[in-house]
Amino acid sequence: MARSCPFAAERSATGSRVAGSRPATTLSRARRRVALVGVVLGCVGAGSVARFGAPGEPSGGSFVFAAPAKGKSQRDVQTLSRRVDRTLRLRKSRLSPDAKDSEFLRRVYLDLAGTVPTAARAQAFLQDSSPDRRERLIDELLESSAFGDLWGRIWAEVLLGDYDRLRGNFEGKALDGKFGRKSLGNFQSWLAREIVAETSWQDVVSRLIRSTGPVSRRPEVYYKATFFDGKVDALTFADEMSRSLLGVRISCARCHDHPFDRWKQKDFFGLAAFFMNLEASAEGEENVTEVALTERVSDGGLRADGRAFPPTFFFGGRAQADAARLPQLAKFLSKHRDQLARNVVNRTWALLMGRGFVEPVDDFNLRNKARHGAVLDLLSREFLRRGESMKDLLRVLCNTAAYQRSSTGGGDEWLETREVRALSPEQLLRSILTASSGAELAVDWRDAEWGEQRKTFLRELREVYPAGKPWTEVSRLPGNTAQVLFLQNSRWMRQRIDKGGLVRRLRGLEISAEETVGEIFLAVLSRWPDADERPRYSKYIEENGGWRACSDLVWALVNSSEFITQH
Amino acid sequence: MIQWFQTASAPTRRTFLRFLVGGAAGSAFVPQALTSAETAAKPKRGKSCILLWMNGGPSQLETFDPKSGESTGGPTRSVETSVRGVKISAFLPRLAQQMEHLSLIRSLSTGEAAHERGRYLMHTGYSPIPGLSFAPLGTVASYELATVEFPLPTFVALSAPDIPHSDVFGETHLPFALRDVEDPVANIRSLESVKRKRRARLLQAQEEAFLSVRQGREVERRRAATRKAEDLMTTELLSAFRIEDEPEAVRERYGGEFGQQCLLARRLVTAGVPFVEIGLGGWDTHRDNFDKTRKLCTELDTGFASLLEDLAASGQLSETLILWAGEFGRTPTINGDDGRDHWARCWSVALAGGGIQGGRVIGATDKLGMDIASRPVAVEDFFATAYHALGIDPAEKYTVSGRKVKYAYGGKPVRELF
Repeated sequence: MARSCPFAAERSATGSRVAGSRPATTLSRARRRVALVGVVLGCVGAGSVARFGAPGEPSGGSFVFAAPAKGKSQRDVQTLSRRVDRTLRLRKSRLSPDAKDSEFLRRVYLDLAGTVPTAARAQAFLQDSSPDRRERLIDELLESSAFGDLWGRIWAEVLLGDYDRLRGNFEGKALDGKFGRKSLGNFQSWLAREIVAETSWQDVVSRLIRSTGPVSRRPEVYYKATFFDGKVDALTFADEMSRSLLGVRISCARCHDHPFDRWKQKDFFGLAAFFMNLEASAEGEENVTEVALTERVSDGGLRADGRAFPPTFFFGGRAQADAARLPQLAKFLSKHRDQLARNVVNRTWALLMGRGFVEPVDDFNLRNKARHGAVLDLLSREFLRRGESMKDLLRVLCNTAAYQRSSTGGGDEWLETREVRALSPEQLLRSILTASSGAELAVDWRDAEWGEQRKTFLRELREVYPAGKPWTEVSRLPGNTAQVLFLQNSRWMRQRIDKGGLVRRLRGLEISAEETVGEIFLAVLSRWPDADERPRYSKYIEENGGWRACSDLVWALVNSSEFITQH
Repeated sequence: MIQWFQTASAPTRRTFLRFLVGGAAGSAFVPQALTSAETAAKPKRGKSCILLWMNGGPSQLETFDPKSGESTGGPTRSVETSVRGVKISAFLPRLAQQMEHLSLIRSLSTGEAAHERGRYLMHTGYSPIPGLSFAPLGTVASYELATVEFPLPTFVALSAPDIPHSDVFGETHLPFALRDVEDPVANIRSLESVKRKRRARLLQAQEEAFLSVRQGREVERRRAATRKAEDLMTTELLSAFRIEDEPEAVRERYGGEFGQQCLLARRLVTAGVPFVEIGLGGWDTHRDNFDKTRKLCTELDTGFASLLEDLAASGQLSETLILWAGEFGRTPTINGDDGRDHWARCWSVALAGGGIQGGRVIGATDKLGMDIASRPVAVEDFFATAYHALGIDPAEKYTVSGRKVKYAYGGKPVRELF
């Protein structure tokens, strides 16, 4: 880079290892075989449930209780969740109480399915008095189609970073828009399928790294293809994959040895050297309608700064330069899958709990101490031992007391209370549509009808969040004035609320004001009105006339912080 | 969550304001929104800045550093300006007459010749680094110059694509995007109607019940955003956005769509908005450079010159910094399509107002415009100059991903401009 690094002044000599890195744990061969059988059985089970959509919905397939895959019992999940809580070492006197059922219901629905529950589903859960209702709800959500879709998109965005689209310049030909969108969609779907099927993460990573061929036939190739803008961009890809797969900013070592970690320049270029033999070829008459990656074999090193850097992996591993490099890198990554695990655990914790053990989540380094590092260690070890399943990890985390803490009361140290957070744009969109449409059934977000709504919503949201590519599944709404104005005043919102299904349905029902208030609260806030709210709003509806008052109340609840935040 | 206690320095006006907005326990310390009359009556503190963003990379040889008669000059002629010895492109006749207000840096050298990277650099003063978000000029200026009770957005952006985003100072300093110059602010509705008042009361009751038993940054954000939105909907200063209130003759003097943006910017800074970014795009003239640039310059000329005239006439120019820049310049060598390509080695930006002495030319390029002949200026110096003009310390630091960086990294203000 031509410009001097703004952090150059912070460089200091450090000799010790990366904070928190541990030698790789290796599964014995026999246990691996057993785990594999478990995976296959789990896939079959999970696959059949996924087809029926969210079990427990009034229609759309019969309820199928899915046991946690890989032969793990519910008790086994609970044991680990309890261990996590014990390892957390929080001040007992400062802990928030356990979240109410309604709080938990809404929270876990938003985290695992990306939307608030329908009124019917909320009512069913709130009326359930069985002691294991929360565990079963978690299991049910993890088997829903909404889960796979949401978390496939989340992880696709983590992996692709800012490069969420195939770049346009292949040998002077423009990319066909439809092909670009379809390829991205296929990549997300592929990732979703792997997560749902509980493919071990190191296998997923291995495929991401080593697969080549045409994008339309191998969706995972999209991951590398987005970084090859017609020509090799090995340096950028090395930076992105080290951050998204390992949580390490190796590119800080690009211009000079890393300012506060043990990585040297040769580590960065050594990683990039794995990708320098990739070539992208494009097909298509006018526009590019197919992109294919191939790896040629050469024994050259990557030339930079007047030196040649052979392919080496910075956690350990020197590749044979004159053989295919991608499979070798995949092997090295597998060998050091403890860092792969730590990265997944850290990011998943951050997505659920508001921040990771290590922050920023792509910056594990010597100076960056993990908070509650013992829990990160525990969960990473268990992640590897239990088959590296993201779904299993989510199941364990959602069952912890830490996850189920209320957002009221409690101290102000992290995890003593549940932090109130902004929703992501997708969560907000789906929640508004679910609540205001008064949907009885779980919405299938892949439906064309909802696609149109989403397009309009996101277009309007551009005014709220103007720069570049601002929002993703993993980023939060800005919470600025423009957002408030949009939600309170826009035509899109007025149409959803005043003319939406919920208000229309209530108009047609012959029910009392009290029952109406109950319906509205269930649909929008996923809870019953409390002893203060019920009489107050019943009176409001009686005094202000029927459905007009209904839409007022829906408007107020949808614009309330209780609806717009995750808490 | 009173984080400013951790800063070692004594509370400055800035940290005090942060305390007011960030809030301690409950809403007791948060001031109620002033009525618009009171705000209007308050004297505007601090300076304002208008950034004219030329998206695409404007050719310096067709604007402020013509090489008329040289092999690289193309057909572009230069004209005398109101400042003796200074010539600019003949495509900008009215600006030439405003030269006593306008200064040029002809020797800016930046090294980022790709659109996204150049845009990022010229907005933040930093090259993009993966995973890090540096704050653009508008965000810093908004943070440093805005008063907390000001009801309009303090960083307004129109027609400026892809401004880098940073919420390091909070959401109120993110750019507030306007829709278009005729209908700028989206989703504003009066709070006066009976129905609206009814709904507002319902909402307020719900909010209090929920927010008062919870704490944390998001809670404060929600409170602040709602209050700011209400302020915006009720303030008289909203009329600043209505360029249709201007006499027809004035609107015509400013000219086309970009000119109307300049007029809007003038109204906004007069009303007290600290930072306005407006834009004229289409400068990426790899083909047909001369025709396209001439057309763009017509729009630029009428708008920019009118802006300078009016601000000078009303005495506001000394309090309003105006910056003119794009991602990079364009090649002196003319390509086979009668165009010019990206060029970051030596190119031009323009500055006016805010304490900048007009009519000065900093640096020079050589005869053909291929290299810097004197006084090279780096991008951090340009930023330091801008911050200095606005009364902001360029060496002040803020935090990016846990690391402290300066507003203008290592840059020194160009003294010759002051």
